[in-house]
Amino acid sequence: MVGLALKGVGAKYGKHTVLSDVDTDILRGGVMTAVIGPNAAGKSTLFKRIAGLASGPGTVVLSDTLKGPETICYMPQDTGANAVLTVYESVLLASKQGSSWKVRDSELVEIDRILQALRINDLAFRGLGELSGGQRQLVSIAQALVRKPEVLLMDEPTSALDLFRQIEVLGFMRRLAAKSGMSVLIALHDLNHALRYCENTIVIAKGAMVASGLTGDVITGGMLRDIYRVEARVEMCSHGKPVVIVDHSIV
Amino acid sequence: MAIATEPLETTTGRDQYRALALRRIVLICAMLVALCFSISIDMALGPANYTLREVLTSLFYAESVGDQLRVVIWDIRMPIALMAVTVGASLSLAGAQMQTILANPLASPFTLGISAAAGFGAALGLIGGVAIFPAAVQYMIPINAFLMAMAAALFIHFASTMRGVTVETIVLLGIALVFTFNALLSLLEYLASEQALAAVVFWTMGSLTKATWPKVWITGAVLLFAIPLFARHAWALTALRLGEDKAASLGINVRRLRLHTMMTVSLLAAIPVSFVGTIGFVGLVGPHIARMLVGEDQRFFLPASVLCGALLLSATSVVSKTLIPGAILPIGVITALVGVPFFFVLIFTNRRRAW
Amino acid sequence: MGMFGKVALAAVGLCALFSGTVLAGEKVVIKDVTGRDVEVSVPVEHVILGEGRQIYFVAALDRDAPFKRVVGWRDDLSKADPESYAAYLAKYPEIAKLPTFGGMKDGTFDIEQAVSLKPDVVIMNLDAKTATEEAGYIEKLGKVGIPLVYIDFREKPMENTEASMRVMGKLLGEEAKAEDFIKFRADSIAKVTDVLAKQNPARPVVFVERAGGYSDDCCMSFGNENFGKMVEIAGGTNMAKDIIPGTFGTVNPEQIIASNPDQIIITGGNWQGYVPGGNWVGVGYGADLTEAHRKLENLTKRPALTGVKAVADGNVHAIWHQFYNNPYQFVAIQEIAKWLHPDLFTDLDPEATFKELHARFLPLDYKPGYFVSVKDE
Repeated sequence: MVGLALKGVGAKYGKHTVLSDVDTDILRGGVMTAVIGPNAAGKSTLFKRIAGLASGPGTVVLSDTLKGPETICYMPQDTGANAVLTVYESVLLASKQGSSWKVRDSELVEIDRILQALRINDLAFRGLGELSGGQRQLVSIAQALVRKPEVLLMDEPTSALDLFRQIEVLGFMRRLAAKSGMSVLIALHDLNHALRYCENTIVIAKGAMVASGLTGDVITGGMLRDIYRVEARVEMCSHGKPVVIVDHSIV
Repeated sequence: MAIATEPLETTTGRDQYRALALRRIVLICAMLVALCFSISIDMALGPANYTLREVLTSLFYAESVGDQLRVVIWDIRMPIALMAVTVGASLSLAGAQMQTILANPLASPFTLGISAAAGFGAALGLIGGVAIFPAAVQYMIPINAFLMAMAAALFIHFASTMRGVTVETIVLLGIALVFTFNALLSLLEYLASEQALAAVVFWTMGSLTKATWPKVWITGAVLLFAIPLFARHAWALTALRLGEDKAASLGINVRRLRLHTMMTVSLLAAIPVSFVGTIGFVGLVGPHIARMLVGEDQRFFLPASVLCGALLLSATSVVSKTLIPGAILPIGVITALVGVPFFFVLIFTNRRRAW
Repeated sequence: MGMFGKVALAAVGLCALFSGTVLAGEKVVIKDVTGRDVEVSVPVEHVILGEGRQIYFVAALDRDAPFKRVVGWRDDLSKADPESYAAYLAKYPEIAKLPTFGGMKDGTFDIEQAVSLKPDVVIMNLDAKTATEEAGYIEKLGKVGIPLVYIDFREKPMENTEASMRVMGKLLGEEAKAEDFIKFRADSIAKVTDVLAKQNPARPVVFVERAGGYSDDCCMSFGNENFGKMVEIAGGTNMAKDIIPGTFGTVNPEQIIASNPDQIIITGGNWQGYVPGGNWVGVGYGADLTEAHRKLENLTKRPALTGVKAVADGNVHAIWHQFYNNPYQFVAIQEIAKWLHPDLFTDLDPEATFKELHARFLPLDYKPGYFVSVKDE
């Protein structure tokens, strides 16, 4: 199973350092890792750096991979709303990058499967421009999955989804990770989602890593106070699962 | 690694996609047929009123017909008919790829100032007798136009690679270039003699009567050089339309793709403009018509843009010489008159959003 | 008008007032070619030529010192007719220092500069009428007592040349000379039109190519005006008259083969400054006719002229392009008539007419070079 570890990873735009010192243990495949932190903390930058789309110090260590660095797939928040392409075509083109014009049946079968798995097969021949923001997020997930990555970096994939779709997508991704051995890093704002679906959590704030480890160890009342500036508790609910309860913000 | 967990219900998606692709191929073939038809009409019609039989004989047994017939078909009608095709195709393709890489529906050789730059270059020659490249004075006008057009295209490109310059600002830059070159052109016109002025005005109007065989070969060669380059990057160019981040996430080197595309586009836009003058409408509207017909998958969009532009200008060529028999009306004027009604019909009947 | 404009106008107005007292002439009312009645003190001593080529008129009236009354002129003569300009410059070197106005396109000029030159009259061409009126020049000049008259030898040369000459004659106080010129011109044209009216010959089809060889384009031509009209007066049928709706336009090259004209007349001039080494035929004042002949022959080899009757018969000619806006265009009419009907006009000698024009009216010595035909040696 694939493993990903970050050693002193940082990122620069020109001479400007925007992220520094991200260190993690080996993040094993088969589970999800939450990347949390306030707005503009550097979550997207971290993802771009891992995917090789931004440069900076440190090393991204991949182990037991089948395909090498190309196996890392970064999934941005949105996918072009202006393109005159159907959902189906946009997923097809994600899978066909770098290969020939000819489209094989097996490739189409795979797209059908993914669209059905994400329950967007009824949107397959709608134009991207006709979709809602949430629907486009689902398409963006399909575009990432069709590339069969071993490491998937999802940048706030549920931000525009309704509650039902959020739960559905996160549950689907967790099952998929477990089944395929994929390592999924997922930037989230909802800490209860992190507690419920993610084995590990990395906390980023002000361009630096604050904490990294098992989700239960990282998400604590103290961290919430320091990083999010809210007075909050992590308690067990009646089902015996940890939940974050926010009392008030600290002014 | 199997991704799907739910069982497959149907294969409708695949079948629907195959049907969609087939429909597009049929549309592209229909455009090709229409283009051949238009070229044939262009070849068959003319004030000399030759019969179809005479035209065909001259085409296939050029030696067996009289001088006049042969000259009319081979040296007058054919260069114009083919020039319409190569120029229309080049400008439309250039516009299509500019719109793709700059992510802007208003991008075209005309709106980004490349045509205006060419016009200014030509005017430098026509009015001031200034040869930018003094070695070949007899080709001064096209060479001037070409060099200015390339300079404008490269300026646009290098500006686009500067930090903090977005695709939106590129279009603003292009519009600034249009105004700058038009102002410089007006200044030259203000200083011009009547004779030179008339030539400049006529040049900037654009005209296919300047067509000669060497020009047909050159524009055709540039087109044949550009098409495979774009075709090789068809998937990547399509992915650019999903946004810069998305394209990069799919493993595309966006900056390099933009650079290579822009260089080729400059050539595609500058050469025809330097030969036949400013023809504004095709480069902007050709790609839009193609997009509305076949979408933006470059495997279809690329040939459709080429055919749309070629068809538009070929039909224009027919209209420009038949509207007043014996005269040739300025092609820039006719292109808009031919293209706009068709464009309107498409806009108002197309329910799906096109850009 | 801005503050600066007002002050400037007031200042130069004062100057004009003083100069006005010095030049007390006879006030007369002149009807210009637009029908306006303009009050001018004649004879004028200082004129501004709104177009440099108006010197063609002035020279015919002020033969000894054509530039003595010109205080400023537009700079178009050197651009449109460089040979004539060079000839005038050689004879009157002081014209290099004459204040000039730029701007051929819209016919405007800097009114402050114009007023500061203290002219007694500003002579404008009819083509500049719209621009002149839009800018309100007539009112502005009127405020400082400078009248403006329109003349015309381009828009409707056949109708307006005589009237324009009369206006010029009145202004310069050379009415007798103007009448002489008008009579000479009318007689010269009558030598053509009288014969044609009497003999009523078949009218050959003539293709007039505008500035042939100037660019790759074939074939610019004329509708009913300009050279199109001159050909009709000279007893020909202008091939493009039903094809080109306006004055200028482009004929389908194939149409020349289809119409098979009997005669082809290509306008030319020395355009070395615009299209160096181009295929144009460089006819004009004192032109090298051997070279012009070579270039004319070269033009007959273009596809559009393949197998055309005019080429086969050697009836391809080149004529000086600037005749179209020139009061001397009656000479061109004679030459065209002689080309079209050589049998009818054996006695007509356009060269002699042109020579006489120079000898009787113009300050320059006549130099041939305005016409060439492929038949010529």
